[in-house]
Amino acid sequence: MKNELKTDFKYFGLYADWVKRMNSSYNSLFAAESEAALGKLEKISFPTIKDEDWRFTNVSPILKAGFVPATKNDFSEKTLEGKINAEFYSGLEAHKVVFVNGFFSEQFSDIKNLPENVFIGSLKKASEEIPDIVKKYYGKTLVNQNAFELLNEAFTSDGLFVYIPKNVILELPVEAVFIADNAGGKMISPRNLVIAEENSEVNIFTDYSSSAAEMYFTNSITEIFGDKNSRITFLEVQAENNESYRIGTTKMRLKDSALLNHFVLTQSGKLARNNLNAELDGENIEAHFYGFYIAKEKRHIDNHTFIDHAKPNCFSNEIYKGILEDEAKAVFGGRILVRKDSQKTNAFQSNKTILLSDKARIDTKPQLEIYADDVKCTHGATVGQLDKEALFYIISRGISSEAARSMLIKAFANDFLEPIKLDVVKENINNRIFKTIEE
Amino acid sequence: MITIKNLHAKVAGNEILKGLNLQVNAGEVHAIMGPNGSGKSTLANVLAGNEAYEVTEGEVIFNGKNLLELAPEERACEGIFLAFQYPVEIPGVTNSTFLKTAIDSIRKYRNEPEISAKEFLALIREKAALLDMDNKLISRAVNEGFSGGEKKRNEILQLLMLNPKLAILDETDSGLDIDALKIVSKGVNHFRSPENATIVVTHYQRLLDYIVPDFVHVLYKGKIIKSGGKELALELEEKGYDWLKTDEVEAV
Ligand SMILES: Nc1ncnc2c1ncn2[C@@H]1O[C@H](COP(=O)(O)OP(=O)(O)O)[C@@H](O)[C@H]1O
Ligand SMILES: [Mg+2]
Repeated sequence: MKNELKTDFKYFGLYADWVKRMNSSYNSLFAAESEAALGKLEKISFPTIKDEDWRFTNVSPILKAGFVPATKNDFSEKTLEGKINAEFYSGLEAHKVVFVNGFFSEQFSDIKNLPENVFIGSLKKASEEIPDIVKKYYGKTLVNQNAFELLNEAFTSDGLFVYIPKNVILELPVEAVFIADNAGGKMISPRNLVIAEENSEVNIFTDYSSSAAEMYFTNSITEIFGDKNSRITFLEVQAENNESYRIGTTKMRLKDSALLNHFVLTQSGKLARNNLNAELDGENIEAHFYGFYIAKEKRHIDNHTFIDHAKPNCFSNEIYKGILEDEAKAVFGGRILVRKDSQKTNAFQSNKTILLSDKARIDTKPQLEIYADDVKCTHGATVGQLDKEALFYIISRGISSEAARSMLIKAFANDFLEPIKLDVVKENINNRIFKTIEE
Repeated sequence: MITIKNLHAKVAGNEILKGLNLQVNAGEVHAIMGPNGSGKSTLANVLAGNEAYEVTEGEVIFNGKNLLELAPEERACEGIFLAFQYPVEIPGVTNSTFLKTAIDSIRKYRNEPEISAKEFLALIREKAALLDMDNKLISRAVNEGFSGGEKKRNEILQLLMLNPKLAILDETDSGLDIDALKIVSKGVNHFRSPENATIVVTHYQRLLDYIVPDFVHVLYKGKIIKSGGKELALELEEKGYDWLKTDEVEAV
């Protein structure tokens, strides 16, 4: 069956051409997957607002824009030199991994000495050097892929790969910077894979940004595997320009006693849709999901999360908050599934949004599906303005109303900031949130 | 210090203050008593500039300035301080950040330099010790998870830190046990000086054993219907308000 959106969709014919343009450095692991994904793509359609999960987010502008896959020839590291700030979290000592338009940049990356068997850097490189490990995990969280996931699989060129073997605690964090450069009209498809084996620990801070105000499309997939007793912190900052589109997919699978702290901050972009999917596939898992979104003008941010309590005795804690101004729109879809045998599940979900204007809007939809009987699940959503009583309390102490407002916003953002353990990063995120709000 | 003339104010469309007059001079402590709902908190909020309360008539002169024309933060900078009946919790803002910001705002208004971190710390430690407050409360979020007593004590800590000219204490005694009451009173008495003034709003005489007022006023249905010395509080304690209510009816 031919689908209307698909005919608008310009990628397919470009595939062969794109492969050619990718130079010789084309990766065989991805080739097989890419072709399979393209095959599947032809059989399914892209989501429309008629799909329940996409009711509030219309992706047709992305499809109609006719973005073409980015290639390595689109930019030059030499001209980028002046523009890039690889020291993104300035003052943070970290293994720095830099990607330009989804391609690993050896020149801008700075990966320090690593413990034995640890791998940090390019997924493509890893697939050549340690193919067995990559193959064991690559794509394993992706079942029933939607069209965007297949699209990533079809056109991805590279992405962040982090592999922490059993019992290794990675002292320095990983800082992954994804920058779009000379990306007008391009589709960038980063594919990230994080593996923390049993009893290992890793902290990863990622950042997506643009070197200029061009219209492009980022379609990313991040897979995170946390084995038994692993401890993972993963923070993603979405700071791309306000012409850009983003569909971000994050899929996680956690095993017994894993500890996860996941953060996502969306501070800009024309339209961003984040699909986050966490499978708690073990007992005694503790997983925290923190989200913060700031949108102004007519921007649109959609966070759809799905926490699957597949085993008993786990704790999930999900706190998504946002601030909307002007005519900005946000969506929060929070699905929690507690399967039949997942007794003693403790699932907490909260979505709070502050609307700073009458025309800003949030559609929030919690969706709890509980099939076990001995569980504790709480969820709540609030939408409102800044607390007037609190404002008066602060102002009555001599503090100006602007300062009082920003104090309350800061207080509001604290649920997101407080769990960030590294002070340098916390400070950076704090400043970003404020700069964005005050802009 | 402050002169209130024929003050009328509305809340949510209802007239609550109906022609209130009050004169408070430097060095004085005035107690305002009255049954629940008589308008005591309304008066306190109107003086502090809460926008939820609309002044419809009258004037308030504070140290020569027309108070009603000033924004709430300007009033605070001019030296008005309200200890809230229900202090607000502000999660995410620590007591020390809050107070330092407030002190610096007030200093800026007066063209004075900011308080140094060192000076601030010494000051807050001193005042907290005076109020028997745990130092931990200083670094906690403003009023968040504080007990009723801790919140009231925190109001007095703010009073001592900001050192205003006119302190308005709205039911600072409610919900306090006798030990906490003594500590809070100690704080207020420490604040008292010939240069400042205090309005103590309460509906129990108890507090006035510790903060001895120079004048006692009875506020009823939005007006001051009787004024006297500190003995009036004892009389109210003994006889309640009913005898006054009949007086008022007769007077009308
Ligand atoms: N924010 C408000 N909205 C509506 N009514 C109010 C509000 N605040 C006070 N009132 C009403 O005003 C009257 C006086 O209240 P208040 O000043 O709090 O009295 P008091 O402090 O003497 O107990 C009461 O009838 C109360 O219900
Ligand atoms: Mg009251």
